Amino acid sequence: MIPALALVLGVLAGLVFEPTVPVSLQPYLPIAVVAALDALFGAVRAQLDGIFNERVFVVSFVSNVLVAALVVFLGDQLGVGGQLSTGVVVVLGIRIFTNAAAIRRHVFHA
Amino acid sequence: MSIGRAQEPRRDGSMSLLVDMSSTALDPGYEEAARRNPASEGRHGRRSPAILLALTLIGLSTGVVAVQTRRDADKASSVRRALVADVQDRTRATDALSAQATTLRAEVSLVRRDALSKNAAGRALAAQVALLELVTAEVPVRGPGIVVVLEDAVSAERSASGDGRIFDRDIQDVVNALWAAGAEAISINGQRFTSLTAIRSAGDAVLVDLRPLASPYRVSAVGRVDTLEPAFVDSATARRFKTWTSLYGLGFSVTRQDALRLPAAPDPVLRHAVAVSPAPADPAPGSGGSS
Repeated sequence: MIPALALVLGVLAGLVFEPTVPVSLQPYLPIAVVAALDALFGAVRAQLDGIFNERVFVVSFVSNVLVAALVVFLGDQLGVGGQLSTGVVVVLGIRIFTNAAAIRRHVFHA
Repeated sequence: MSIGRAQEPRRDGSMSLLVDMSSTALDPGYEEAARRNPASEGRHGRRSPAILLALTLIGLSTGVVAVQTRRDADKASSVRRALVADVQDRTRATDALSAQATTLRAEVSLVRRDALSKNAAGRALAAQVALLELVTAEVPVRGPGIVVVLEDAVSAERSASGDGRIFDRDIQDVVNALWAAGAEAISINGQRFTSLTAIRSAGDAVLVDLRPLASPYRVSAVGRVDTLEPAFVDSATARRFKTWTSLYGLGFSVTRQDALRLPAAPDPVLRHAVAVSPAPADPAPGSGGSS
């Protein structure tokens, strides 16, 4: 309950206070958010499977965000930024969907 | 793509990428950690400050990205609106200047006629200029003539290959046939033809001098009606069009008109000018000497 509350409070804070992001980081923020969502869905699924581990969650969250931003940054330097970010979004999207399906199976037993 | 599928051995390696992606969707680290100390994580680990901080960060960044995306979209649309307003302003300014140029040209022509009427050589020159102005479409024209109307087939009859549409070469054929039949001035949908006018197609539209025209196309030709009309109607072009009206459903009609008004061609370009040396004016009629 409290973790979900923290998540909702974070979203509301972002929408209400509208903090400005430094311009150099702006292109990487959407990909970082998708990577963070992937770690989040993995954590929820692990929780429902009964094997949740806090250290694994924090490490996977931080590393996902950093690696995704790094890959997009590298892609921009090499000139394949658009294609690499598409690839990252595809992979993260597949993982999110897989975890969401598993969560759905747990919650609805269907 | 359930986890169970990943366990069976696959003979082709091509599916392994997607299978790996979906089977490792749950970070294997969780299973390893659970294996290593099965007694540990239960419910209390969920409230740890690190987790709450991570969740707050995720929510915050999601909100920030949503706000940022909306802000960028607003900026893009306001830039577009500013550009559209700019284009409309410039178009209005250009139209105003074009109208001013037409007025000034008319003034110049009056002044020139006045200046040339001072002596016989000038009057001959003025007559030559008047004829040339008519032929090069610099002046509007009024007179009897014929109107040829070309129309696309009704859309139900059009085939996919565009058989029911009027193309640029159809209009070219009609205009050439009209000139050959003796037309003195031709215009289409209010646009006057000069010897430099281009008729082209761009996609679905027919462009006359880069202005798009739409069906129906009214081609007005001024000339001697009793020779112009029979000569055009008997021409190969007109006969071909008549068969096409029944084959493809195109519209084609030729009618006489007693009083056609054709506008002048817009914006003539001055390329070459020679100064005329001023000649002495004729003596005034009442002061003796023959005029």
